[in-house]
Amino acid sequence: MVKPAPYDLPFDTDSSARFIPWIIALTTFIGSIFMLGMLTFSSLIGKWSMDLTGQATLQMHIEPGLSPEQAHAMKAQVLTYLKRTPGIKAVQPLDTMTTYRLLEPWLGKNIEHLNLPIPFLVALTLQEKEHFDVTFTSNELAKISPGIRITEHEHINQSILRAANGLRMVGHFILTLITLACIGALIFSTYTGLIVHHDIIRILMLVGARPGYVANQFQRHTFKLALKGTLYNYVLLGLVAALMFWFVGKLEFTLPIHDLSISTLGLVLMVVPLVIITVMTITARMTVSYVLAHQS
Amino acid sequence: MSAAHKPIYIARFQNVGLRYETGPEVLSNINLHLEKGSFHFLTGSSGAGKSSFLKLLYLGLLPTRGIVHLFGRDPMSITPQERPYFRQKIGVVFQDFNLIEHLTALDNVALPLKVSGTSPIKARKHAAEILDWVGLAEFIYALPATLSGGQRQRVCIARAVITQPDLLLADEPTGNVDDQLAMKLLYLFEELNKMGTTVVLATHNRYVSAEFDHPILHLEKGRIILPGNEKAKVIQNG
Ligand SMILES: Nc1ncnc2c1ncn2[C@@H]1O[C@H](COP(=O)(O)OP(=O)(O)OP(=O)(O)O)[C@@H](O)[C@H]1O
Ligand SMILES: [Mg+2]
Repeated sequence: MVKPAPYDLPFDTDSSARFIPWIIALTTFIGSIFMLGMLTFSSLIGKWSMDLTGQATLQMHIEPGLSPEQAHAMKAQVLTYLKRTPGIKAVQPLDTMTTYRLLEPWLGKNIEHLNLPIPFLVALTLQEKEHFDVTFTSNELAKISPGIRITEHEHINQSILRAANGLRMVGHFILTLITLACIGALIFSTYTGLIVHHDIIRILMLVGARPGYVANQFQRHTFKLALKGTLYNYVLLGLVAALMFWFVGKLEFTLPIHDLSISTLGLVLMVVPLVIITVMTITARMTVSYVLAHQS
Repeated sequence: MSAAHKPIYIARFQNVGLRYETGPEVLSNINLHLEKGSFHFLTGSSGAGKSSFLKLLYLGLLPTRGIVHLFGRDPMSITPQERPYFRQKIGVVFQDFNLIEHLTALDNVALPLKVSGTSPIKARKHAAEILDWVGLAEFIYALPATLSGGQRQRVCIARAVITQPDLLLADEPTGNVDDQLAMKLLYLFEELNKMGTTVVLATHNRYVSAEFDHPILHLEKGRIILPGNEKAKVIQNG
């Protein structure tokens, strides 16, 4: 027997659905990139946050007028005080070279020759259980050298997390908008399809088709379009990945995406299209069922 | 007398009137009962309202006046969700065929079975048999546009009878075929009727209605005119 027509409705003839695979492809693509970005971002933040917790830095400005001996004595005094302070587990003064290295990204490689007053830095590891009173310690140390500042990294941590959450919310909002736009486009095209195929749908209903039967046809057709969109999405992702690796090769830096495991990456690349395909087929089905149930 | 002799009505019309939009009533004061298992001819000149009358019977239109009962239910109370189940009990040979142009004759005929849940393979197998019976074995894969008027009509008939419906409504089903084929098709309806299908067959061919001993519902200017036949079960008081 000759194969039956795949649908009772001639979907091939209707151009309103022509752009749907591309709209779905873009939504899936943006969704995948967004999810990968978010996961990378979260893992980065998590790492920083781990590095920063329980840390503080002391910064001491050395007056240019002081002799090296005087400066040395002053540093020793500060270190001794710190070692006796409750709540501090370890005190690690940074030598000049380390300080230079830390400042390099801002001031460049030739800091030594700039003749800048380089501050004396001490890395403090705080105790988890015992409370460390920053204000009190700062005030006490100011008696030794007035320009002393202690920064608890927990504060930086908090602001980074706050900023990260803000970013994440903006991201989710934009992603929601894009998904809604995609759903809107599909509802519009499905609705147009119902109008274009009105005569055939009328005949189907006359021979006893339930709205669900017609909805099924639209759902299957939409599934096919979404599958096509998913393929386009993978092509886009492949292109972007190739471009990125090419750039990375040129610029010699590592992508933070390496922090994601292969399984996470695979999961995201599978789950996002699956979610989109599901949402799209359900949208098509609900649109048809709703319209057919509400017309006499 | 036992309950078995109490007639069961497929359709009952009480003072039914029908108008299109704001036009005049095309059907007026229709009062009649269609008994289960009956066979009626519906006659009347062109424009008398035959097709309109049939539309009331397949839920194509709701009456604008009076009450219709179809399978014991008022169509007004049949929800859109229930409507398909009523239509699945009714086979219709439309005057204008209503075939789906991009589907082959086979797929058109298989539709009523498919939409009611029969597997496509089974539905097509059955459709092929019926198309063979109406003399279209060679045309099962033809698109309606490539068929003659009479052939299209036979596809439409095949689609109407494939489910062995409880009620068969045929609107000029033999209008486009020669007398010999017309007779063959009429015997198909007769056969279905004997198996329990209630038939209403609209025609303005007196030869057709004269050939069989079935009651005639004659429409004139939208009213059913005296059937002059005891078996008609027509209550006339309009
Ligand atoms: N969709 C419609 N809108 C408005 N008027 C209509 C419509 N369909 C039919 N009519 C009118 O209703 C009347 C009855 O038409 P109907 O089609 O029922 O006649 P008929 O008996 O089937 O005629 P024929 O034998 O030519 O098929 C006609 O006067 C026609 O103009
Ligand atoms: Mg007619």
